[in-house]
Amino acid sequence: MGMVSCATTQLPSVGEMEALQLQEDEKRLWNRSDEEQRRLNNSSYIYEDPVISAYVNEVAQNLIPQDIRGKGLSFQVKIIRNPLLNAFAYPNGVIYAHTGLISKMENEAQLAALLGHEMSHVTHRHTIENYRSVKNTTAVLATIQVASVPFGAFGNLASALGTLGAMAAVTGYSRELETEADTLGLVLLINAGYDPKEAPKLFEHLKREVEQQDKKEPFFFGTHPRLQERIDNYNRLIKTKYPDATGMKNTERFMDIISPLILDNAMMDLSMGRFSSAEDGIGRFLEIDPQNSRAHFYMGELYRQRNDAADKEKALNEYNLSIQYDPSNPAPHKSIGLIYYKLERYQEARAEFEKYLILFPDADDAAYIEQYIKAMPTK
Amino acid sequence: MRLNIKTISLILACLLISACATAPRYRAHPQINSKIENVKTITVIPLKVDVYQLTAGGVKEKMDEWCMQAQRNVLTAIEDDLKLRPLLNIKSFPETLMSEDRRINLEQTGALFEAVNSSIIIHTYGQPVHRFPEKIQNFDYTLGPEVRQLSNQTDALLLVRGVDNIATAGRKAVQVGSVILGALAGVQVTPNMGVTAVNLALVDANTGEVLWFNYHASAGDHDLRNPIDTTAMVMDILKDFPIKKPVRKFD
Amino acid sequence: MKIKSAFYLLFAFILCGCVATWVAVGGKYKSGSENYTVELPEGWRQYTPAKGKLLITKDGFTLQRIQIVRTKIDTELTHTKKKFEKGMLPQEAAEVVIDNLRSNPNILNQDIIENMPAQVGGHPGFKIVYTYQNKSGLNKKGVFFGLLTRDWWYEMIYEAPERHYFPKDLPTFEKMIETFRLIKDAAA
Repeated sequence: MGMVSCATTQLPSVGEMEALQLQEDEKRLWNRSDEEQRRLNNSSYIYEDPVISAYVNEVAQNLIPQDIRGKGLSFQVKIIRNPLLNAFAYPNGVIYAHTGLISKMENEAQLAALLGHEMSHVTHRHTIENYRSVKNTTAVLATIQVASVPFGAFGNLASALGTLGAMAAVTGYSRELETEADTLGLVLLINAGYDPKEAPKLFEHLKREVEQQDKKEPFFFGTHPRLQERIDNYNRLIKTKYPDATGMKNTERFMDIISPLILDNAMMDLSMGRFSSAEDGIGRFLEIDPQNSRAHFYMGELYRQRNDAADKEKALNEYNLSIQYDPSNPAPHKSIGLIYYKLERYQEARAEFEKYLILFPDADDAAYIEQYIKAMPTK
Repeated sequence: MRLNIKTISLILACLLISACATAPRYRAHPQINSKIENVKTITVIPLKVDVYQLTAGGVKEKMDEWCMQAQRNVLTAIEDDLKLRPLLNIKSFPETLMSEDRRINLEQTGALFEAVNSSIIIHTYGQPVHRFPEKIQNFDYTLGPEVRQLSNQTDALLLVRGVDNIATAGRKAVQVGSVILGALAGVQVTPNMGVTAVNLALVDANTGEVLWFNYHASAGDHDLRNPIDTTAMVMDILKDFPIKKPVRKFD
Repeated sequence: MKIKSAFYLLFAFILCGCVATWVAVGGKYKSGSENYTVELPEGWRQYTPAKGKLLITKDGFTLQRIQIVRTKIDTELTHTKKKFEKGMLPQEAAEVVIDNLRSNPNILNQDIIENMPAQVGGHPGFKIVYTYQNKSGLNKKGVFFGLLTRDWWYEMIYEAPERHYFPKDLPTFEKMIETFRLIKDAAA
């Protein structure tokens, strides 16, 4: 996209100011941010879970450095329902992180690394810096308005974001500004008491994920070589500046709170037909909660819909586990019924469909089920 | 002249503009005369009046203060013109702070108007092969009876939609018809130069029917930040307004 | 060709009618290549450059659109990697359509109002009623009739702004669907 490589920010950071004072073009960016966020925040794109939302915001609040507090800049984290590995920040302090990215994290320190990075883009006014360098030299924003972004099926969220969101989420910042955000973010991480070694681990883990899945990664990681560059940069910083630094990870607390999001994100992957990612996500959830009926049902759905060799047996096994852990769950009965129906094992299919309708008489798909029951021979 | 893609596009676009210049400009409901008889009060609703600055890099930056200035100019010009028409009461919008329901209604009305506006521009003003003659003869568009919740005790709504793209000194003003129509029809085309377009639609406040529609568009000749320019544009649009000004007799 | 130039040219061409043609329709419509017949409503227009699909409107596509498309059964959908498969039940096919809709990042607030079995041209298919909000903030509503045959799948879609336009032409679409027939057997 022809991004101009520029020096690290020349604008004073918010911390260096006595109070936040926006320049005229910056005010306009904040107004655009408000407009875009109003639409986004009222849409189905936002992942609504008050417990998880409160948690990620608490982590963000603990990262805010002292020199920012009371300056008129506040932070808010919102989670976007999207299985892509991305996060972006608006200049007014609202950070959006995708369920896809959060679901891949292993602990709170990695979450803090992400949030610290994004917060640094805000505190050091990278958006206006970037915008000023871009608008007079390239037509990046205009291109965003019409360009197709190579993100794959779910990825063109950029088109639903406004121009500003797309700029942050899609093209990101220059190499120098990203490096600065990495460096500053690491300081926030350490000052808040987290283990800095988790920052490169997040990227390494995600890089492996991207390589394995052959995903076209969105901008949080930049291009592939840039991702490695940033891992190297983190490792170098830690080795030279913080060789003995340790800190908390809060793994248990993180997994305890975030786990429902992992399962929900896996279902988004399943909707998109990303069976491998979905299987990983559901599998990860089941490691935490192996007797979760809903998760076993979802795993069954994955196998039934993927329909590779031996998937029918796997699906039936998962559905039976789902029933075992919650006999009142109607959904697995329907799905077992569908498998038997297609195998022409009508007696078994009928039994399962009837159980489904007994457990869930007001099912939205009752018309389909009644049709199957009617179509099947009675003997 | 080298026939590259840009040149071919410009030629085609200029042909389009010349074709458009000879077509009648306003559109009206087939029963406009009877429907307008009962219109005594009009509420003017600015749906959007956006002014952008086009930077040297081709980026469109929305300029909030210019938007406010342009909206003031457009509304003043409209109200000043309509007040000259007899027995017509003009109300501004909103009359009071809006409830959430009303705000949502306004948003949906605006969004539907964008869709209606695009259709009107493409199928009643566009090139002949895109025109639907039956829609010109039977100009039958609506925003739905839901519009009646927008304003109390009013007979009609005058919906205002304006866009102005101010080219910075670095960009040349070149006649690009496709961009003008793009601005009118709400198609997202980043223009290469300054384009100004204002659309006005008179809507029955009870039924939502579009009673009358007109526009003015120009490439670099007008600036909505300038009250004189804006008044000229608005007067041009409203010269065919169905409620006429009194004819001045000179002895 | 750069995206901007291509868009510029295409827009100019479309406006000048070098590509697009609108043809008035009404009465029996037969598509031998797509293997169906249907009665089209009077007073509507077909957008003929849309090759391989029937696209009609009365007031313009931003205000209502009916389309009939036939696609090879193993074609990938736009927003999901899931595909239709031979032998899929209508309910399973509906699941794929719903996942494609839910995964569409160009629209917001997708909601499935109805998903039920339906006869399409005398064959077992499905009907989905849905709503969403487009990028401009307009609430839209649609009806999707789907039919899977051995090698093909057929979609018949009606979409319009939810306010006023959707209910206005829904009876026209429903009447049209009642007349849809495959020319050759569904097993073909």
